[in-house]
Amino acid sequence: MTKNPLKKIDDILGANGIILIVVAAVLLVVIYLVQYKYAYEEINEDLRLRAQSELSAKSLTIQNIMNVVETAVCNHTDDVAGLLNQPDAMYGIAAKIVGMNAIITGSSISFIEDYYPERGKWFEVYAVRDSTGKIETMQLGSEQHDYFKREFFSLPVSTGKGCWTNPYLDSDGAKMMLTTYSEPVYDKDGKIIAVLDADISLDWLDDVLAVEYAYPSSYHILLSKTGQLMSVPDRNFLLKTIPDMEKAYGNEDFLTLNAGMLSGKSGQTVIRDKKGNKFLAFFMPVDKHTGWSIAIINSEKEIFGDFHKMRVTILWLSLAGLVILVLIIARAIRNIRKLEKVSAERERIRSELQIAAAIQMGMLPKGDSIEAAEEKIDVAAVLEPAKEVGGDLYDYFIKDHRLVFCIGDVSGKGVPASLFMAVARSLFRALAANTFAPGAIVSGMNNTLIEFNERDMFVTLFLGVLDLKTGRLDYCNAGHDAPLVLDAQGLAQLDVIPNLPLGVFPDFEFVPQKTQLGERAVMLLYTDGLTEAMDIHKEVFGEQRMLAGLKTLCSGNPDVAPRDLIAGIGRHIKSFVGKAEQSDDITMLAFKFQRSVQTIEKSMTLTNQVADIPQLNQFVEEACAGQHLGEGFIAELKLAIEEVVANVIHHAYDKHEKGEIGVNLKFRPEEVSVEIKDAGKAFDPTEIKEADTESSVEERRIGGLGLCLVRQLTDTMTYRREGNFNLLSLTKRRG
Amino acid sequence: MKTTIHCEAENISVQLLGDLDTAAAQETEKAFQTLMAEKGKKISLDCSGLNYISSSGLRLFLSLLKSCKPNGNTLTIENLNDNIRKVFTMTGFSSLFDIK
Repeated sequence: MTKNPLKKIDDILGANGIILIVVAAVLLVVIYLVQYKYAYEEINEDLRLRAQSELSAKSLTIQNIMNVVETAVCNHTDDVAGLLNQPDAMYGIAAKIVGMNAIITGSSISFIEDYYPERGKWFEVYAVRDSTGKIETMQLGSEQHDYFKREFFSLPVSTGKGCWTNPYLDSDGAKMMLTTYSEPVYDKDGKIIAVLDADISLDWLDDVLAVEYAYPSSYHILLSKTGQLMSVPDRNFLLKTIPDMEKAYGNEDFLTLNAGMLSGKSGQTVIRDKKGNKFLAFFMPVDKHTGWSIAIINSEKEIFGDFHKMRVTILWLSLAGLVILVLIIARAIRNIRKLEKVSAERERIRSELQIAAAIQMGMLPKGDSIEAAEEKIDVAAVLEPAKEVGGDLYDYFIKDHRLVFCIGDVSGKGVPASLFMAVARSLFRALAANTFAPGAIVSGMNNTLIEFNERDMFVTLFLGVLDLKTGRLDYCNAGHDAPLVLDAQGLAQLDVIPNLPLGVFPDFEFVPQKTQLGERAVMLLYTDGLTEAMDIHKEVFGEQRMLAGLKTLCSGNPDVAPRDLIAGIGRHIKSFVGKAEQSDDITMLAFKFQRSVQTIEKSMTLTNQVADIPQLNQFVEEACAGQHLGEGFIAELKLAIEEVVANVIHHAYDKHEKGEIGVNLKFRPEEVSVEIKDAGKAFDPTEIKEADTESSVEERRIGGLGLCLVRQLTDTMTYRREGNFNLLSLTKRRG
Repeated sequence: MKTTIHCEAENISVQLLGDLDTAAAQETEKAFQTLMAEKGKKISLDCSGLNYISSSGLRLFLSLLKSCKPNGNTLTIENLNDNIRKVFTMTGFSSLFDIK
């Protein structure tokens, strides 16, 4: 599968995750850079201070040594000046200077040209320590050793001050590096007549400078005021210059170091070797007198070695942290997605449960009165599942002037119970369609439920068949709570044999029972969710509270309607339970028995001829006779029917068109209903305006009187068009 | 339905007997037309024998009443039974007719 890698990252981390990681990475880089900068500066500053103090210490050591020599020379110029008349005494002075300090290898007193004419043009007394440590003296001046032009002589003579010569190599084969301090000697007249000097070996320089270095490859350079190297790791460059080294090494950075050192100031510069390795060079002047400059050179690699190691470690740690962060975020996002998926799934199940609840409720009959053919009975029911769907059931229907009803409770709650409930309800409908014997229906339900009962569920059920004409109640109980009967004798529990719940024992003999309900008796059936409803303290509603509640509902109203009874108990439970969660499904079913009177129906058909009207009136009179209707009632009904039929004759049919008009009368206990049916053109008499019943004789219109009468003589008048027929219904209430 | 008319000087007494339904109204209409042709008479309708009346019958009564004024006739209705009296009330005829 080819997938854009960015898309993949986005899939794993999500937009927020990516932002988080980028921010974290930027933060890490910033922290790293800042840390780097400060650490670098810190180390650099530390190094500079160390270099400075080290260089100062070295300078001081060198100065101290040089000062000893300078002092020794200065202190003897007066001796020379005082003994000018004894040229041979000069040997003693020179030897004395050499003897004063081991660092002094030799000392000479050189006189200006022809100062002692008897001694020749050159006179230079020289004392030197030989290899055994004995001090020898000699006169060196000669044509071959013409010292007048030599620096040690010419410089103090020309400047009139003591000075150090540039370092030089001993010509006597020892190849010792030497330098000379020369001081002019003045005579009484203030004229320079000689130069007193002391040679010192510079071998000790290496010793002084070769103390412990800060880093293994660190080294010092000591440069004379003219730029000669006096101390350098590569001894081949002794007394050569830094530019010589630059030539040899091809390293231009040396020139800046050279310039810096010769400037007589302190400073810092960077030099690189051929490989590009960096070195930090710190330099400072030793003293003004010598004009020397000392430098210390450190390898950057060594200085920052630990720091670089630390830097790399930090970098790796940061990267590792970042990777861990990525993993954590990826994991968190995966968990969030899982959670989202789970909650979406939960939402789906919830909505499916809601649909299931709607379907389950849809199975149950609604309304508080049912009517089938001629029978009508007041029934009310309520089912409140504890969860979305429940295991309670009730059902009822009227067939052949009998009310067949049941109430039941499946063991358990929720979806499994609801499925079992649906099965039980279907079985009830299927079996009750064929028989009115409660025992047979219950046994049939029991055996079928057992056949398909994988989960060992069971249903408690009460099933009854009430003859609406006689009030005879045939019933069979299957482990359900006994229903309550409220009649003229008061409130009582129906006598029931418990039998067994359905789905427990195959081929169980369910014993049916029968009783007689009195006129206007109310029967209340319920499930144990009612009596076992719990309040927040887990106390149950109980039978006593239910009976007490019923008694208060019935007192003062013996003719309570089933709907009001159920609503009243519902209120009692609600106030008892309070804020506690509903623990079980609550179901109630109630009906009121009223002996049904058979509806008497009579009908006739007449032609659309006015001549048939007397026949119609005669039919109505005959039909009404014996229906316990008053003479006035019959006269009014007859007039209303005649007026409607006359209207149909005049308006629904054309003049010579032949047609029929059907008249049907239904005599019910409370009313008489009439239906007049014709096949004429659509004609709705209810749309005809009210007749004029108030204006004077002259203005009084003749039409509309008939409908005016119909409206006043009947209680309802409705029209409908059904296919090619006009159907007009009238009802007139008795009494 | 039977309609009998007695003339005595300016008094005309009409006796209605039976049910004045839609069908009967067609026959009775002829008798009423002769009454509508009279002038300057006192017409009294004796309804003691009238059992029933429908709107068609009421229409005849109204037509007769409308013809009285231009012809200088007077019309009185006598001996209505309770049912018919109720119908008269419903239709507002009680206030139009001189009922005794």
